[in-house]
Amino acid sequence: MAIGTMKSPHMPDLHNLPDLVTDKILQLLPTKAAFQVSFLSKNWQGVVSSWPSLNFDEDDDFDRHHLKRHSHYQLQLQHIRFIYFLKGYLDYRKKNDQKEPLDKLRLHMRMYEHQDFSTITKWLKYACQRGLKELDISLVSVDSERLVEIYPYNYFYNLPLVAIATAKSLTSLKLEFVKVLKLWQVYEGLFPSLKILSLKAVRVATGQHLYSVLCQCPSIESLSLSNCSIGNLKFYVCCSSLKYLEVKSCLLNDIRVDHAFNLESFTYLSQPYSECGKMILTNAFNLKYINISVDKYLGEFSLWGCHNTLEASIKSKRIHRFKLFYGYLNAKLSFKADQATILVGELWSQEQFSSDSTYVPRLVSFIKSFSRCKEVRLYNKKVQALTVFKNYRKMTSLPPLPVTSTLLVGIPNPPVVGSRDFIELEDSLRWIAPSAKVLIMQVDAEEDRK
Amino acid sequence: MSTPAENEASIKQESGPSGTVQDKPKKIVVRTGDGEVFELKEEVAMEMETIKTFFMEDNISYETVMPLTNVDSWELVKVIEYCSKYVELKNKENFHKELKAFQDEFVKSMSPKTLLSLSNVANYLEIKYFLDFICQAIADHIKSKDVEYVRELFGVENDFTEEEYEMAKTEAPWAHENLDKDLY
Repeated sequence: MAIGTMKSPHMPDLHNLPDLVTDKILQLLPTKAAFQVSFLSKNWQGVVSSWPSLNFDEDDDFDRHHLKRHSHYQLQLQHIRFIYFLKGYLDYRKKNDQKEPLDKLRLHMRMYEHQDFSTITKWLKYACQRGLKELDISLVSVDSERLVEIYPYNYFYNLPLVAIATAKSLTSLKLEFVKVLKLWQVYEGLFPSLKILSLKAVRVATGQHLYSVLCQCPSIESLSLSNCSIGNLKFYVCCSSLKYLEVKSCLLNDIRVDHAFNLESFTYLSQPYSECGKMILTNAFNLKYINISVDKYLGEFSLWGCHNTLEASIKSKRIHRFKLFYGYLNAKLSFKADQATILVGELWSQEQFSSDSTYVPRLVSFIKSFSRCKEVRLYNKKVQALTVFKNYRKMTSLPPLPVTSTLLVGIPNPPVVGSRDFIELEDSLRWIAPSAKVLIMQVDAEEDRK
Repeated sequence: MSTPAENEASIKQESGPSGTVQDKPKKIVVRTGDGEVFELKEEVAMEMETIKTFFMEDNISYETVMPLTNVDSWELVKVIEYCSKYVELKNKENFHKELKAFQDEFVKSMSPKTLLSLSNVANYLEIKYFLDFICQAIADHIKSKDVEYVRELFGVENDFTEEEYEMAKTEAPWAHENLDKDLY
């Protein structure tokens, strides 16, 4: 029997396609199209006022009417119809619904205008009163498309938090091309169920504002920011439930992730020529994946605790201070920088060091991660933590830093020149980096921050 | 593929003469509306709630040939193709990616009317993930088409009277747009 594009011989009577199936199909259509199609017959009218998942998409609407994207005038006219539908359908629902729950609201626009503010805000309020679980809004305006480099935040929809403050069942919030400025009044218990927060091209006045909202999200698991603008370039997060954190193409200077007990993945990727002053992660004992790329300069990167299966990829032209504490010696590190200062913070206590016979091999393979750096500076309080002893050097012929041209070691109390400790250290360093100029210097003690 | 079925066979109830069935993967036999007989692997057949209930509820032996009067043989071939692939990919790492690739190929070869028939069958056989997939494919197809196209495709008769339709239009003018009218 032929299958494929030919009609099959025994076509079932499609007039009897069950309601369950036609309802399902209708609910998978963009809401505007679905509402229009529901007028085909009385039994297709079904439950149009209580569809649990709504999808208002201007792109789909433009496609449906075969509008070309360059015909600006036609797009404007269609936008007016789109808004007219949004208003009408909201009133229709308010009139006819039986207070059934609305699970998902997706509203994506291409031609957002300031006049649309009240329609959108009314929809948000209505949806949240109906127990909304997933909210996804993207309000692209014509201007935001044209000026990609500098988003015209003046024209963005200013999301009033009060409109969504009642959404206690909200689990997923995705905002794109909006600004959230009125954050000085933070509502208690704002988003108790929120698990996923995604912000793209969102403007927030300050990092503290974002922090105070996140404090009201005790269940948050996934946070991602992309092309966002935070007024004072600070990003501070203290959410122990957070598992996944991603920051892409955001201009930030000061990043701090505290209490990252459950954090498993951290990604920070920024634009060309970018710099970042400080990046600190604390209590990140479950962190298994790191991917950082700050093009020009990373001032300080501190990782307090990590998982012993950590895989990290760190890339920057110059890293001023690279500090790892606790458990990093087992990590798989892919490190790309021309110049870096690495603080070997694992062993602060003499006892730990002398009882650990695996320290030296692990130290060597850790130092090997920096083999692509032209200039490496190591720092530790204890001389022994940086010394690779003769008996080990004899066993291995491969030095960890073969092409490094400068190797500096900074110690607060360096051994006296000519002493046994000094000679062993020097021999060890010369072995580690055979092509390098080796220097042992006294430096100020690094603050032991915890 | 046979090992999981063998394990299933030893846990599930015996069917037919004892002992011999333990070695071979179990098969379920069905007969379609147009008289063709199909042998399905047990694990694939059990993806279809209708078949599962038929055999499980009253402990019916696998020797019984289950009649599927509302299903045509070409439809069953397609259903088996999809469900077998789904079962195969279910526990793999790249499940979503590979399923999507398979879904794209699967839909390419089918006309809209074919998709509609399959949605009916998916509903009858109660295969949730297959029904969801087919309905999504249909929705994707009609979302850029006008209302008249949908009427023709589904063969829906207009049971609104002129007055009823006009009333519906006045109640929801915002839903009945006219491309050459300007709205201000």
